[in-house]
Amino acid sequence: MKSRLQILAVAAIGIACLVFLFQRLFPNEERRIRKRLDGLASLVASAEGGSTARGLLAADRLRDYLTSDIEIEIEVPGERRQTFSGRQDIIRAALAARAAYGGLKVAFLDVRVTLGPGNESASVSTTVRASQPGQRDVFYQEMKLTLQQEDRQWRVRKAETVKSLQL
Amino acid sequence: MSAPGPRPEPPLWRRLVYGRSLKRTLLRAALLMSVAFVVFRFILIPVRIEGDSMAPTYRDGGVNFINQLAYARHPPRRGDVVGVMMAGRRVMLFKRIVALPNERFSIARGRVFIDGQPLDEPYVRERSPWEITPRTLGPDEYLLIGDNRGMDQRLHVFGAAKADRIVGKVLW
Repeated sequence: MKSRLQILAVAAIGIACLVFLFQRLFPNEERRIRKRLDGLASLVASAEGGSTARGLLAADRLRDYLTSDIEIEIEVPGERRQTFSGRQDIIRAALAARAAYGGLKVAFLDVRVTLGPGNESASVSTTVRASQPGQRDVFYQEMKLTLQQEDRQWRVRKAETVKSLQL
Repeated sequence: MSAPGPRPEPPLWRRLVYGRSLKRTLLRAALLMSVAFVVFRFILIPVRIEGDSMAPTYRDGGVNFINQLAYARHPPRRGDVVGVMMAGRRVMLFKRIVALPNERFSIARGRVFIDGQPLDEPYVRERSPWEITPRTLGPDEYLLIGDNRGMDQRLHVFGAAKADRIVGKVLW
């Protein structure tokens, strides 16, 4: 009886390990999107006192995360609505933001992925958290991202702020 | 054949680390962890308050819980402080319910009017001259505002939310 239980326990652990390994080696689309967003967050974030060269490198890598016709619509309390379109414009804006906010940390929280037909596009609902070292206030903003799969890579086609409370 | 004697006491260090019986201690720990998981995941969500939009009632850095079962038997009520979902439950807005579904509200010089009558709000200490023209809430919408009305209206996140965005009521 005891040995049977032991065999069952070992089998359960073995199956769990196999499932974990399989998921790591062959991630599903949702997992791939989450991983891409983590990568995007670390690129948008900047090291405190980071060099211009590092910024340019990040900007170059950022290109791989955006479609060429990307659009960003931002409307946050106390600021006027801003729209950016085109990859070059956005990379320029990201570089300016990195320079202006040294040590900026960005995270995508509460990520909810809805895949489109044929897994060619996806809609992501998330709360963006942005903070700067030494600053008491942490910025939170609900956002909707539209992603598109190009050359087996998920790229952001549209990013827009969402008003959690409507007036 | 002699009867077995009393079991020898485990050494003090072992009793301090995991009690008299390792099996029982592990069982108790597992039970405690399961109860804590269910309570803090599905009933009471622990929250840390960030920002000053609910001042002076709730201060930045305070800790509280959102009771997810608060509205199991009745709908949200005016004056309740609730947690409102953003994209999910990891980050929530912390606001007070000021107007209920189908009510007509307006704000004139910082004072809230519901169906034309001024609302008594003892929790508001300072008022900036906020202005919102009259509008009517939908059948499933609640008007949510923070208690800190001394803030600039443009910097204060407030507005209407559907009932499904309300996660629960604050515990205290």
